[in-house]
Amino acid sequence: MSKLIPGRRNLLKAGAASLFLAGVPIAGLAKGKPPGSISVIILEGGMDGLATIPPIGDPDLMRMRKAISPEGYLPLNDFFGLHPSLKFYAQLMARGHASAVHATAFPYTKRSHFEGQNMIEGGGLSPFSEKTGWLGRALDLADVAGRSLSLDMPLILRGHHENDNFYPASIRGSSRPKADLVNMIAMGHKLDAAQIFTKVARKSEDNVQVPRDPASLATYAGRAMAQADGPVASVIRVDNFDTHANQVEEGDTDAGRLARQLVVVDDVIAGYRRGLGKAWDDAIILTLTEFGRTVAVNGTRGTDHGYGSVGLLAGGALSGSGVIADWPGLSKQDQFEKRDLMATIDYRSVCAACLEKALGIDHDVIASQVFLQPDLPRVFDHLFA
Amino acid sequence: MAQMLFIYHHCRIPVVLLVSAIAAALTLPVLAADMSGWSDKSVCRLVTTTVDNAVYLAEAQRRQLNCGAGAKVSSSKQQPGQKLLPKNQGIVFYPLKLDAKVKQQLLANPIDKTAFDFSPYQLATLAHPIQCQFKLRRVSYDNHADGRVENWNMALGSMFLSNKGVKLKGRWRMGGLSKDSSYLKHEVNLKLTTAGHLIGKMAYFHLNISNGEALKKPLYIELKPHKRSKPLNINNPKDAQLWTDVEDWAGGVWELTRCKEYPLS
Repeated sequence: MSKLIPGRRNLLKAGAASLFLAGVPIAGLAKGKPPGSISVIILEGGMDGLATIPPIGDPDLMRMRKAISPEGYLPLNDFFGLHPSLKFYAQLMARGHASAVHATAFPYTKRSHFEGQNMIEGGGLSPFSEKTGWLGRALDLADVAGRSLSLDMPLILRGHHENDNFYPASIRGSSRPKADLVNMIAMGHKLDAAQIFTKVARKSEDNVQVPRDPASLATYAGRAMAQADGPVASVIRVDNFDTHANQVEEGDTDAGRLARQLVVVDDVIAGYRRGLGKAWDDAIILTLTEFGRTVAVNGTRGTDHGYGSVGLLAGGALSGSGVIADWPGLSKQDQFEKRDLMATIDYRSVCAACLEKALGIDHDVIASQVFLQPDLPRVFDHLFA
Repeated sequence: MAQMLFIYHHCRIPVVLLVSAIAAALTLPVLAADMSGWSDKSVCRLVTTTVDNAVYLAEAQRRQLNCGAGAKVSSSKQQPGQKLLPKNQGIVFYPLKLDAKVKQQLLANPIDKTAFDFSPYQLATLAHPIQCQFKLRRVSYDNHADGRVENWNMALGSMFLSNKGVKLKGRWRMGGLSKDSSYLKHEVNLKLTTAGHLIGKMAYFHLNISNGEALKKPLYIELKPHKRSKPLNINNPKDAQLWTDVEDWAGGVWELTRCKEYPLS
């Protein structure tokens, strides 16, 4: 049986990443800080769930994917394993602070990155149907209107409240023009909102460099969220999961593009853990990806756009570790359109459960007002009971 | 079917009876059919959507399927292992079953980069907290086997020592990421021993990074009692010189000065 082999960790190759913080409670506007915090790691490109959490108990896995299935997986139980790149995640699992949801997806089956990414951020019933994002709408409901610290306002955080934004790179004093810009924005606001920007402007004058690698951004976000008046939500994007070619290296299925990107995800989660400190106990971190990959391997040691994937969850708010799935099987007749892993759990339900736990909002309200689907199934008990 | 038409032709059975017979003939084989070719999903769908589902329920039970509420069996939190491939059982929680040795290894790895086991050390119990000024200087071993203390500060500021631990307020002067004051604030886990040594683990910037150079992450070094240190007298704190090993070519020395006790507020 393969084991997690220490010392095989690839060096961190910092991919493109960006950080967005939101939900800074504003005095006079917020009802109070919600019971927890929620952080979303968006994995752009479509992560291969079958390689990340390989269903080792399904005999069709090795029949169809021997060429790209990781050999050095950590057996989590009789049916699922964990990719060897996720070393920190394995430590969290051993401590009961991480779980995975398998064979899951947003209800989007067309395999387009643009539509899929819009769908997982907007949380609407079809791509481009919403101008706000599901996290932003949830923050509206939790009454934690605030300010996003970002260059652009990502769709996922857009709510009905007027959210202004600010890029964390400006916190380095070398970019004086940006500090001036923040001062100007502060002057354009009144009372509480102006105070927020004044605070941000003061911060920008600190002689502080915020490193731009994903793990450091996560640590920075975690520290901000751990503050008493800190934000309750953050989003970090990590790209490069579109592994059409060289998903694994020739002769080494534990290495390759996917392995490198999973190291980044692992480091981001570790960064959050380090930054959150004691606030970890009430924190939930979850990954989002627009779709999974094909069950079959293509001719370039890669996989193509698919449907079902896996969601990684971490945080002290989880009730235990394991894999949650309604396993659909991998045989040809079990696959979606005879090519993809079938999604049997609506990932919106998983997001809804995380919102319910972190923001203290009733599931029915989340279902109808955040995901716009009143009959969205509730999976809260599978994650947090 | 041909037999029925033959009977109809010869016996003149009423049309209504004939239609009923044909319907029964079409239905019964299905109900009595061998359902081995049916997918688990189809069986479950029939179990949950059919009012009289006894046949399908029996098939589901034979296959050890869990088809949800309609099957009159619980769909939640069912443990795996009922069959080799637990397909379409409803949402199942597959609990972690790590090999005991692997689990022990995973739990032994510290989650926090500054985690440190203080248990082997005798920690100081201070009647009053102590405040010192500190300078951290590099010790070079390149051309000096005993080490040469370089005359510049890697970091400087104030050090607060209490029974809870050591807090540093100040700044690194190594450029790059060291400019982020949070490293001194958050990435330090040090305590004072009864003998006056600093022990623990902390983020440590041992390389200078100039403007425009690629940023480098800090090392996480362990501080332990060093034979060359002049420890702090915890009963009459004045000053101290605490050495620490970092790499073969260089280490560090903490110079504590102007130490004084201050009353608890």
